[in-house]
Amino acid sequence: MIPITQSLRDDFIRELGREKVLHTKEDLLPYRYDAFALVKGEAGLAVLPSSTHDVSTIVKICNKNGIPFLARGAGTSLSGGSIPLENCIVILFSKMNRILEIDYDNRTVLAEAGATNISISSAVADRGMMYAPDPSSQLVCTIGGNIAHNSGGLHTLKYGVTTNHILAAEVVLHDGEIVQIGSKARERIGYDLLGLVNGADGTIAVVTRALLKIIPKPRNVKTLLAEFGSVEHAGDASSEIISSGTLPAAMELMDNLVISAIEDSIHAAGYRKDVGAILLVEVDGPEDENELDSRRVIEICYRNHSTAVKVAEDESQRQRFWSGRKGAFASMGRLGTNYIVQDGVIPRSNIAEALAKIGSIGRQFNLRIANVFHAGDGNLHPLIIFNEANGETEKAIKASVETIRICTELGGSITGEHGIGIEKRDLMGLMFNEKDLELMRWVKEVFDPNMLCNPCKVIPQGSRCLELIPGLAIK
Amino acid sequence: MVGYNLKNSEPPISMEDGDSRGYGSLRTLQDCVHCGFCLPSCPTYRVLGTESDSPRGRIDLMKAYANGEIGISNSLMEHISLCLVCRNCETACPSGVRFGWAMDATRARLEEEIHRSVTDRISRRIFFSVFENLAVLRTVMRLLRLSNFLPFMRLSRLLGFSQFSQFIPVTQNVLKNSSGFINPGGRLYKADGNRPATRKVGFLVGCIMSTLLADIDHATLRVLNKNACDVVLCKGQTCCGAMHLHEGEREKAKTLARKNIDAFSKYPDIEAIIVNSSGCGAQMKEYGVLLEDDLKYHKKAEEFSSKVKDLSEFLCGSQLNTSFTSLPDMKVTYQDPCHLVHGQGIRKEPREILRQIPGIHLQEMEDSEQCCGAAGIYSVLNPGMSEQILSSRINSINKTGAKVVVASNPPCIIQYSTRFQNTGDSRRVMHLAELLDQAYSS
Amino acid sequence: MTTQLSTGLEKVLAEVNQQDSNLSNYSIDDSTPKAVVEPRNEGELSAILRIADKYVLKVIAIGGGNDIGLGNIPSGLDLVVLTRSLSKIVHYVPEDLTISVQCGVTLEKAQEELSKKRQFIPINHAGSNPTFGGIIASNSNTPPFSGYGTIRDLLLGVRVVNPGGSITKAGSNVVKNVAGYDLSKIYIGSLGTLGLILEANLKISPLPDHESTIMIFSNSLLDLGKIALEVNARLFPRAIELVNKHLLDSFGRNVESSFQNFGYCLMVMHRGNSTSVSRESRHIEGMAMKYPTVKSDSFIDSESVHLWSAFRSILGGRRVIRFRISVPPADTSSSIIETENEFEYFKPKIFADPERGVVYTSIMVGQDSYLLTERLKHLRKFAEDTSGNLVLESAPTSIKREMDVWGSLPNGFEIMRQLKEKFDPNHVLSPGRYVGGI
Repeated sequence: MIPITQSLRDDFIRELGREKVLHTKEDLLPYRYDAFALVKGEAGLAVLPSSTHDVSTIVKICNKNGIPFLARGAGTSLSGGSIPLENCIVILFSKMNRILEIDYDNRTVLAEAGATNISISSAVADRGMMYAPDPSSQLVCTIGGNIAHNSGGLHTLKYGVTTNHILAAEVVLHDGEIVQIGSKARERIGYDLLGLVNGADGTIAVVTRALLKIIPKPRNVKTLLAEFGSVEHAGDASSEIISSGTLPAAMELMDNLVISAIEDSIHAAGYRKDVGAILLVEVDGPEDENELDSRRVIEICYRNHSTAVKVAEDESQRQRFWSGRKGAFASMGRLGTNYIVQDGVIPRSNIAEALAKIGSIGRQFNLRIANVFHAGDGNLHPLIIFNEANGETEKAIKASVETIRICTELGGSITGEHGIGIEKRDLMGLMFNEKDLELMRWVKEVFDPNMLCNPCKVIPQGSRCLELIPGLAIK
Repeated sequence: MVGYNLKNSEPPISMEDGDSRGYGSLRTLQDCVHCGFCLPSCPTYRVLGTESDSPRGRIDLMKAYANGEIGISNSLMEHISLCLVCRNCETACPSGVRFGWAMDATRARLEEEIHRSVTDRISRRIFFSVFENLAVLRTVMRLLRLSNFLPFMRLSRLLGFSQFSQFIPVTQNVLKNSSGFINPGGRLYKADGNRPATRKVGFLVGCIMSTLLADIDHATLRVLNKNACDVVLCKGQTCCGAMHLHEGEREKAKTLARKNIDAFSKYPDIEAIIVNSSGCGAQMKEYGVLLEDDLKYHKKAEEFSSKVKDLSEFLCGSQLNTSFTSLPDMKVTYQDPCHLVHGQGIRKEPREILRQIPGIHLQEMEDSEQCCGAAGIYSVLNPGMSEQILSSRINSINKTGAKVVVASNPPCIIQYSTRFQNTGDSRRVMHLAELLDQAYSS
Repeated sequence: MTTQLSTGLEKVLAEVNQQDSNLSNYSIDDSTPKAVVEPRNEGELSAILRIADKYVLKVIAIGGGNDIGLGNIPSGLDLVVLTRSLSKIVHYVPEDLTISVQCGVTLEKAQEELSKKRQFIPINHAGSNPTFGGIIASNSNTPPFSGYGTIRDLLLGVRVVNPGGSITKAGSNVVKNVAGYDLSKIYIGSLGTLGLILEANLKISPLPDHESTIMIFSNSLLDLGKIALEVNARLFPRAIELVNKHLLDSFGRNVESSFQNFGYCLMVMHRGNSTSVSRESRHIEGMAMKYPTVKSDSFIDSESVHLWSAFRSILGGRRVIRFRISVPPADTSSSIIETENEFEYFKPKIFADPERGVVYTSIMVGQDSYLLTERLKHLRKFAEDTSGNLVLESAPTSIKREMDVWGSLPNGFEIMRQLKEKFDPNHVLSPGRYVGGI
């Protein structure tokens, strides 16, 4: 690890101006975190570029001096993707948050990487358009971060994730070269570099601008809330809905623990606390299709022993239905002092089986595990509740790894949307063998031969990067 | 070595229950899960884009300071003092962190440990003492109104009171237009004869409200009278202490709180304590928190707090007298005062009232819940940042085409009126009570 | 060199039998392979690539062979590998709405299997017996398609045989996954230059109950373009295509419609239940009515199905030059006009997807190839100036000698070159055929 010397700092100041270089301990301290709470990093220096040219300048200095760097948007990564390791330079995108062009004829928005996700949809809302990916953090998180994690959201089920909605990106490569990949033309020539940049956790290039696709906002939305006696019944219902030919825009499942926590918190949505599970389903096709779809959903829910299905009668009731779901993670404080949010994916026909297995992990470790997840995609979010003051941290981490192992055993993935980052770097082996990983290393080496871009993330790298989370690595 | 730690190896924040310096308020920091949802809500983060000037960053700094991980430094003081304590981040926070409480407690502790120059200390002491006794405040205000402010300026500069002397021109500007000060000597304002008096309420006249902005107090009294209220100006009341608390003068804030509690408790028959200044309202609703370690006063404080009602909250909660005469057509926009919307969660009520006044057309502005940059005395202590924050509000207001900005909090009113005056802008800022008063009397 | 090659080939043939002695049947752009093999399982395929890498045998894989015209003239060809025997459906649980197939599975076979559960895979192909390996490697998809997404949106993961014979996986078999680099993406359309796709995991969809297609005819491409713009800004059609007169003429024999004398036609397809299909159709007819020059006709269910299969049959056929222009969608109409102007003499059959801004043209091969090359280059310049590109999907070798199939080097080419270098250091896979001679 190369220390940030005075002369290096002066290089940055000379090239960028004093006001764009943050260096006091207090300036840098907050960058040690993002939304992944288990690990703290340390920023060597933080810089505030206001243009792609600035970013290129920064990366050039880093490359010349062998200093690692990291692009950071709003720091809302749930896997530690924006935590600086190796004392790296943090490139902040908070000043590069403009929307540069809206082109309705081509249905595109050109934005700087620091623009928030919501700002894209807001900018085109009055023309009845939207940017489809809608992660829960959409008020805060940035397009650059969305690209890094290939973010999804509640409506991913129907509309897809970031990689399906990005047409081009301006990136700064490891040596500071600025390259624009893609254009408003939908078909690109050559290997799909944009596809690689998406979801690479910011480890192969720094995205400075993105050209995003916008689509028409759905005209009609129907939201249903189905109550079930048990979470298995709700899981079966969701599997059957998917296979029935209905494609809901969103389908979310919450178990009793989550429901109780929500109802005891400021996010209370009026859910019944005595039900085993709630399935929230939203359909947003043409009106008559919605009618038919919702009838079909109701039928399937009752067939799977739903005790009641409610249909939102107006927008305010719809908002209320959703408000609890959206506040779910934040309500977890009601259940215990600490929690780990997991993020695994299973084939959608296995929901009930996976839930049962997760339940038994909870019993095995004597920890409460709450479940809230995107049932339509099979994307589970088991919440492992523990108390660090009781020394339960390590146990909780182990239990959380077991829930992920279940996902891979069922043929799924270790992360559906939170990314690998730091959190799951050492769990990649659950899904990929050494040879699979070697191909990923090749990609990394081509893009970032000096290994400077967001160091020690995503790919297990052996001795250079230490084990970050004791107890997490699979032995 | 990579610099990371398991969170559970962090030393716990050093604060014991019942710590007299209010460190209990720091406990809330442990609820922060670093999700970052607060970032875009923060006015200084919006301007600077640096996390040390964001709620999440400041939380980390406050924790690090409480843990002894960092000590006092210029950089720390800068980040802490640049916070407006607008509490917008509390609205944004999904985990319920009470940022304002933690910031107040941190500033109190910093104030104890920081080294200030002699003149600085004296000037602060003089400044804050003036507000601790409303009679003294009225006298100072009268002096200011009478005299040319230049000698004051020169004198204070000579003494090295650079920061606080800047209040003088601002104050004088507003004072020129102000009518008779209000002296809360226990006087009763009887409800308007047209309707039977059904309720008796107390009224906090406020330090700035009763002097600089006494017109608004007068209007408020008339509005309450029109709404079938007997209003008593409870004797012995004083400044609410919000300014003291936010500037780290926690003990003084507590003293003022106790005084107010005592003063109002002498009138057990009042059903509510009406406040027309949102900063004071938020402060008084949280006396229970401020005095949580005061065994004698804690319970009384909570009782007191439960009676405190913002004017709009009170009027909306009872049957609003809607026998208005129509005002000339007027497009207004509403600025949510931070300590009303974020401190007290009141956003619907003032709008509901505005919509009932004939002639008023409410045109919402973008980001109406963003701070205007006044933030108590912040605009004077951090004029540069305050200006930048205000400018983005002005941009929002420009887009509405409104001629009147409704903002029911003294600092906001002074902030906007100063800007409008300095730029020769014909737009006005008004308190909700003034609009209501006009609608009742015209 | 020669001895080494033959040793290598001998070793390959020791593992897998030579498939066909008439090697010229497998010529690609006038290059004839020295052997043709058809591995029966992944072990054999892996062995072939291991030996090929060791002895630097140049390998091209062929599935259905429909899109073999895509790509520059190979810089070498020793061995053709036929993948059609790798034809197992590996994994299919209807409730998951995903399917995993081996590379040699044909589209027809998969659709047949899926239709038993009233599901389908939203990919179409005009050729005969197209395989998934070929479809993905050449990123080849024909209408109707746009509403379901492209192959890139449907592909969830792959298993790949790498040069050297190792078998690796990328992506997953579930619909949401962000574990590690999204490597499956780089195999799409890469002509097998990085590795041979062994298995592919794809998203599938439930078969809708009904479909309908509206054909809106007009002599004004401009009006149709405007209608298309409005449709795309407000509705989610399952397919939307603009076709020109020469294509309509070929339709004539297959489809009855009273408005065939128009210059252009906009075809919009919807799928769903009967009410929503007819409502959307009325909606679009309503949009079209605003233009007085426009006439429309609608095709319901089996008529619609027939219409599109007729459409695909027009696109088949070998002795044609096919190329595709990709431009910003708003430039679709101007690209059609530009193409018509350049190639008027050749009676180009054109169809375009105005949602994605891709214009496909096919013309009969004539004697005037020099003239053609110049015009193609001209059109390519137009496309590239519009921040797009022109790709020759099929052309005689004579034309390929005179112009690159892919056009100007894309941005980031140096990275692409280095990726090839890492993945296939001996350049054994489809050498010279891809962008920039990769």
